[in-house]
This record gives sequence, C-alpha cells and structure tokens, in this order.
Amino acid sequence: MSRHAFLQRNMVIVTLLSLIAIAQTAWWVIFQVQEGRRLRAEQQFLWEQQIVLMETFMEAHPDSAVFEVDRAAQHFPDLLIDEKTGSVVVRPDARQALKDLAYGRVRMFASEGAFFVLLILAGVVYVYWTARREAQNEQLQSNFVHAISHELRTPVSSLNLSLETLELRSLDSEQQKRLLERMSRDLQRLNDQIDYLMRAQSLARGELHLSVVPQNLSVLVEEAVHYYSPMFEHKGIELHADIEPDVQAATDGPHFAIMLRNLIDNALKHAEASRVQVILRGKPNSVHIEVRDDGRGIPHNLHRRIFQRFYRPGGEDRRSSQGAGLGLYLVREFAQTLGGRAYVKSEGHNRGSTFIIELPRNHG
Amino acid sequence: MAEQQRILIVEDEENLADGLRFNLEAEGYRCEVVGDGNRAIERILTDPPDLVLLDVMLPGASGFEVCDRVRERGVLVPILFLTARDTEDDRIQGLALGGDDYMTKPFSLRELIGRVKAVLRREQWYRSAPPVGDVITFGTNRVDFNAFKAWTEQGELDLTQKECMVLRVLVEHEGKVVDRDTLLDQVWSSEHQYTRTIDNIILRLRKYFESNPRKPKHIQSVYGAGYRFVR
Repeated sequence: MSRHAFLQRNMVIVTLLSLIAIAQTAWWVIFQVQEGRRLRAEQQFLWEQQIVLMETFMEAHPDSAVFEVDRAAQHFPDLLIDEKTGSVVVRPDARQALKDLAYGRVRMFASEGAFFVLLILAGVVYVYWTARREAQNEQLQSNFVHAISHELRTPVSSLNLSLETLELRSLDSEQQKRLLERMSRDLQRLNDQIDYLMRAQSLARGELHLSVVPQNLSVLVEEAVHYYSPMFEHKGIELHADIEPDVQAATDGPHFAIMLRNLIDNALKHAEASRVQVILRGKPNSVHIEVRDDGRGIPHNLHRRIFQRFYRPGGEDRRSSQGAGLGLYLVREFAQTLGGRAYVKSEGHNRGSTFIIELPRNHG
Repeated sequence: MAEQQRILIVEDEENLADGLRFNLEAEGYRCEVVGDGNRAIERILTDPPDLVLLDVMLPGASGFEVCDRVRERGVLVPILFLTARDTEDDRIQGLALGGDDYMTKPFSLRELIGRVKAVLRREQWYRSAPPVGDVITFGTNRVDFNAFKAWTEQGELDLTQKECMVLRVLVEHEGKVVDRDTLLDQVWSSEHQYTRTIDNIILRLRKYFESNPRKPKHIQSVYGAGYRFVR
C-alpha cells in the first residue's frame, strides 16, 4: 500500500470514528432536552393532581379554619392559595426553579457536548498531523536510502571503472595521472560520505564528542578557500575570500572544517552561481562565517527545510542536488552543538543565497 | 560500422561520465556526455544517437522520464539504463518504459561493453531487411515491420518496437518452437530474467491478431517449451 493510500485510509477511519462520536454527543444533548421536557411534564401533572386534592379538601371543608388549610398546604410546598381569588395555584418560584433545572441540564450537556466535540476535532487534527508527519518522514527516509545508495555506489562504480581501465587499456603518463586524480577524488568522496553518516549517527544517539580548543579560524577558512580554488576555477566560478585576519575562537577544528566545506561545496555544485564569496568576521563575543553566492537562490518556504535530515529537493528519481541530505543537517547540528546557529538568507529565485554560521568566541 | 556509431552518455557524475567516455571511445564509438535529464531529451529528439546510456537519478528529469518522453515521441533509439537503482521494480519500470537493457552500478566495464555491443547488434538485426519480407500476412492480419503498423479485424493498429521485434523473431522461426530465453536474448538482454515482460507482449499480440485469444491459432503456446508461430 502506498504512503498516500495509507494516510488516506487512516483519515477515513478517523473521520468515521469522529462522526460517530459527534453523533453520539448530539444524541446526548437531544436526549437531555427530551428528558427535561419529560421532567417538566411529570412535575406539571403532579402539581395539577396536588391542586385537585387541595381544592377537593377545601370544597369538602368549606368552613375549615385558615390554620387547617395552611396545615394541609404544608404537605404541598409548591402550591399556594391565591388570597384574592381563593384558588390553589403553583408558586411562581417553584415554576421558575423547575424551568431553571430543566434548562440548566440542557445547557450543561450542550456545553459539555460542544467541549467534547472540540476535543474530538482537536484529536482528529492531531492524528492527521501525526500521520502526515509520519508519511513525510517515511518519504524522507526512502529518499535517503535511494540517495545514500547512489552516493556510495557512484564513487565505487567510478573507482571500479578506473581500475578496469588501468587493467584493459595502455595509458600514457598524462592519462595515468588524470585517472589517479579521479580515483583520489572518488576515494575522498566515499570517505566523506561514510564520515558524514557516522557523524549523523553519533548526533542521533547524542554521542557527538567535541574537542573544543582555541583555533585561528582565519587560517582554517583560508585553507578551505585554497583547497576549493582550483575546482571553482575549473567550473569558471569566481571565488572571492574576504577573511578578517587572526580571528580566534574556542571551537572544534574538524567539525568547523566540515561545516565550512559543506557550505563551499554546496555553492560550487548546486548554486549555479557565477560568483561566490567566503566572508569571515570577528565580533566581540562571536564569529560570523558567510558563504554568499549569486546563483539560483532558495525559495523562502525551503529556508528551514533544507537543514532537515535527509531533505533533498527533487524526490527519489530526480537529482536537483547531489548528496544524501546530510550536509546542511550536519552544518546546523554542529553549529548548535558548538553553541551557535546556522541559517540561510535568500531573496528567492535567481537572487542568490547567503549561508551564515554564527559561533561564540568561547564555547562552554 | 562500430567506429561510426554514436553513444549519448547521460550521467551527472563527472568522474563516471569521463571514465565511460574514455572507454567507449577506446572501443571505437563516438561519445557525447550530457549531465541533465531535460537536456538529454532535447538532444535525443533533435539528433538521435545510435545508443543512449542513461542514468536514472538525474537533475532536471529522471532517466525514467527521459525514456518515457522519448518513446512517447516515437523515437526508437536503443536505451541502456546504467543506474544505482537496483530493485526488481526499478528494472521492470525501466524496461516497461521502453528501455532495451538495464545494468546496475557498480558494473563491470567488460560486461558493459558487451551489453552495448549486444544492444547495437539487436538494433542492427531489426534494421536489416527481414528474410520474411518487410510486410507479412497471416490469417486476416497484415503487419508492416518497418512502419510498426498492423491491419487486423479490429482495423489499423500501431505496434510498439518490442511487439514488432517479438513477432519478427517468431515469424523468422515459423513453425518452430522459440523458447523464452531466445526471445529475451534477441529482443532484450540475456541477462534480464523477467519473463513477465515477454508474457505480457505475447498476450497483447494475441489480443491484436487472434479472433479468440484464449485459443490462439497463430501465436501458440507450447507448454514448457515456448511459443510457435503458425500462419
């Protein structure tokens, strides 16, 4: 059964159960209204009988003293003798009390019923929201399985192909050099993917170990820019570094490097930019790292989602972006673990984007 | 001639595309690399190559979408899927959309070259003049293998390339039993084990050409052996 069909089936069941519960609540209210009417009719009948009894008594003893009539009337506290007409009537306050009692019960059940219906509706919304979220998570996980399988198999396939090429073909030294470079890139990619997977797993288990020591971030950022420069040059993208010298912070070097590498790598591969800027600024209590591009931009509704674990735009078959949906998730989580935050700013389609990491000068 | 044949490599992974290109060019093919599904569709429709090596997980349009849209437009270029997607459903989907073969990553280079040659050979076999003639008649039916058309009691029908290929294999072995493996080998690939695909095509052919598909006169089943064509 597809996820959509599963969600639809559950929603039909929840809706049916809710309708039954609402119908039951409505029945309670109607039943109480009827009960109120029945109670009033019975009390009315009782009063009529009491009036007949009193009037019969008064007719049978026309000469009775007033106190004897009063003694008889004490047995029927809801009745009184009209002084003007001398007839027996129901006391107005007793009528009002009966009316209040009947309507009070209806009001009570109507308000309790309404509260109950609201509770059911809140339950339905919650169940729907949970089921939808569950379906989205399943979809993300399925995307992740496909993506990670692709991400691991691609460099393995490429390495395999390179090895078979070495075996099958006679290559000149230049061709051999290119092949070895390709193999090195494939190994690096494979290593990175496995590393990201392990770190994501450590994060999920709450077992991420940080080694926070004073670092010169200017040097780390310069190294990263230097590493990526030839790749940007190869793709014809201008890479510009605006690094404040000697920015110091107590942080975890390897995790900082992963965050930075991910952001620069994203700008290189996915931003479709012509110019990328890497900026480092030191503030009194924090440091700001920005990777700014003039590429395709990121729609506002994706600003938070792109940092979710396993999130990849484009579904299972299409690859709007490479990767397994772990890179930006790790950036956000590492930044938070280091006491800072990571986020994106983008004015939308084709208006570029800026990824920002803010870290405290002294973590912990 | 093999050296004149053109292969379009649709692969977004630069390293893999480079390696494939290098090796296929070393085998004498002319290669072009495209890394995006939409650009691949455009390329195939404007100037169809002799073979397309197609990844599934691509930017733009997926490999499945590429195959579907190309076939929809009546382009019969042979397509060999080369992808990390390795479930049975994926393979069946790829072949059902009109793929000629399906290989999963990681792959053996020798096997890939073998399959490329086999796909091109099958294509060449179908393009060559059939010994039985381009047009055959049997019963009240007429089939034109070149035009992919048939005229039956139901009127004029458009046949798919695979339907024509299966029918042609059976007709070329008229009166003899053709087993499923031979059909698979001739029309798809010997590696591809999904006889369900063959059975579906046979059912469709019977629906077109038999007055009573439950008791076929022309495309007969030989229990445990395969199929036999009789005029």
